[in-house]
Amino acid sequence: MIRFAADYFDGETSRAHAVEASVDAGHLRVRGGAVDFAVSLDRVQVAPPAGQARSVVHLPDARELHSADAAALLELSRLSASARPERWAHLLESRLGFALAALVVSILIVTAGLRWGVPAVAQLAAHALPGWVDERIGEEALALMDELSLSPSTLPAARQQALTQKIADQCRRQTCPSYRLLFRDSKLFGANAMALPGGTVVVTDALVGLARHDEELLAVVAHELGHVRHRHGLRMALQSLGAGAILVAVTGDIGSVTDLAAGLPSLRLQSGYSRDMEREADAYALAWLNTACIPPTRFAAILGRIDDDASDTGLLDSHPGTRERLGPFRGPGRCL
Amino acid sequence: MSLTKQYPMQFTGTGREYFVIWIVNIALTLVTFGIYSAWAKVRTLRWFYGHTRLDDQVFSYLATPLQILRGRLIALAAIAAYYATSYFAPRLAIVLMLVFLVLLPWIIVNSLRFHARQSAYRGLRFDFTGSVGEAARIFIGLQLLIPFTLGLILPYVAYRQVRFIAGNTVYGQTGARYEGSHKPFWGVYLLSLGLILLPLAIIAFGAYQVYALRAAGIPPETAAAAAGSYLLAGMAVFYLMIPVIGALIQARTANLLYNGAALGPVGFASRQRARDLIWIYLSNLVLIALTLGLFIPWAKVRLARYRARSLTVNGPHDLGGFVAGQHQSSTATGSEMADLLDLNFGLT
Repeated sequence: MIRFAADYFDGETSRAHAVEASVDAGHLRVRGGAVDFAVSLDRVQVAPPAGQARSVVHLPDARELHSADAAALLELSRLSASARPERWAHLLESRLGFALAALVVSILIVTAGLRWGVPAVAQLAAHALPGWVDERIGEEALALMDELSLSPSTLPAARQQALTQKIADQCRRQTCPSYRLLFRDSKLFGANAMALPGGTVVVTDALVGLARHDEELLAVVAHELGHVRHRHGLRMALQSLGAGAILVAVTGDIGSVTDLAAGLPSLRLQSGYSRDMEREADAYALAWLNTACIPPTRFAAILGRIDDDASDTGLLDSHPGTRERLGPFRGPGRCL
Repeated sequence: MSLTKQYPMQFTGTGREYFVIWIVNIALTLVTFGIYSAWAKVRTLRWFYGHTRLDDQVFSYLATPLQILRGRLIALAAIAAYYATSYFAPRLAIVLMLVFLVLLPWIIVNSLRFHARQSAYRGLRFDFTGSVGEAARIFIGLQLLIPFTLGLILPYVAYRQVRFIAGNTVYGQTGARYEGSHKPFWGVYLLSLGLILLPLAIIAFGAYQVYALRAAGIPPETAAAAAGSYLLAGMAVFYLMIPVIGALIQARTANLLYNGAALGPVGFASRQRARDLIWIYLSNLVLIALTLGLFIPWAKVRLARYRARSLTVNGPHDLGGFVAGQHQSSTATGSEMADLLDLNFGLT
């Protein structure tokens, strides 16, 4: 039998009437002073109690009961037509142990979500998105970088032409993703190559200068084509968006969704790709070099040289295990 | 015997109690891919309202989670459309931006109205009756004048915003009046201006020192080094002043809003102090950082408790004489849009 003390408001004035409410034969009976009426339970709505905060029972015609008796109200909400999802919340809130379990689960979900969930969803989403999305992002990124950190290449046109031709020749013999090769000078990036979403591959003058053999440059471009082939640029953009969504869920600060979306174009290109993506691009490059009959050691050689030059960042900074990563490129290769 | 009675506003919630609600909200939001966030918001507000007590009666928050969810989805779709177009069709995005700007007064009024209508005390709902036209004049018209008047109009804009918000609030059938004048607002902003000039004065003094030392025949490098500390001190004071001024404006504006408002026979006395707010914000920040965010519930409760403690209601011996107004429904779209856009207005 549910019985609780409450303040009754008739919805007409702000006057409080001290009453006692009780449940009897499918009705909520409210009695006290001049007040005496009964309401069918299916017309009673209990705002699910939160903590020890005083909660409200809504009766028809904007009438209300306010009571501090959380236990009785919870009982009443079970009998009446009240919101369900919050029963779960109330169960979890009822013991500190459950709440701590919720804390542990939250941490696990966030960690697992960031490590596996976000990349997997990003990959699926990347497959679903049409190619022009990558191209648009790539164009924006290139325009931005041309303004901020890149300047026109100082390499002779003939040299640019020759390198472009060599790669085009290779791509006629084996399958390459659609790409566009550009040469740029950059103090900031030093000896470097970048794959932008949509297939633009930028090679810096310093990288061309560092190469002792054209095949080394072809190997680096092959690695970048691997990034293009697997649409890593778009996936990185989607991943940072997904990570942000998790952040919003945790902080509950939905306002930061807008900050998040504003950050999308910046793409974090300079901070490079994830280690898994590098491995994917490496695997592509290895197969590409083998088909092209270029010794894989060319790739190891030029990367080793970039690595020695401490001032360079970008191609290598996101993967500390360069030595280990280059293992497959130290072998003799499988030229058919 | 005086005709009025003083009712202190009280906040009775504790950090420990809110911590449990907060962490369960996060967990369920994560498990449901964010859908539960609407329930979480309602539950949180219901808890804060249910612990805010005046004359031994609590406030109640009446919005339903489904209302919030619907508003949130519509607002999210609109913002997503804007960001998608700004990316793939910038010209269309400019058009959308203008549409948003035109809609802004509507969003503001809707947000204030939704918030008011979902808030109740003693069984009577609040309401907000400000017009979209006046919101447009204040939040767009006057705002656009700020650069042309070198910001001199800023105190007046703040005054009009406060008057708009306080003067159009309705409780039951009783409309609030705003009787404050624009004069004290000039004092607040003048003081803020003085505080921001302080670091500039330090830097200017440093520059003058270089000039004076060089005139005295000291080599330029030594003179610059001597003045460098002034520049550094000036910068440090500048960054210190930003939160100080923020807290000052926040506290003084809240006081001016409440102290100038009257609701029928009821008046308010608000006593927020900038130094208290700075201390709360600063210590909250440090503790949140040290506990990797776990202190957030306690931080919010501290702020709620301070805000309640700083407010007293002066009214008749019986607060039961207010009469209900017409019951009207409203949608959460404007309010959720305002949330998403990080717009901040309303009662603090």
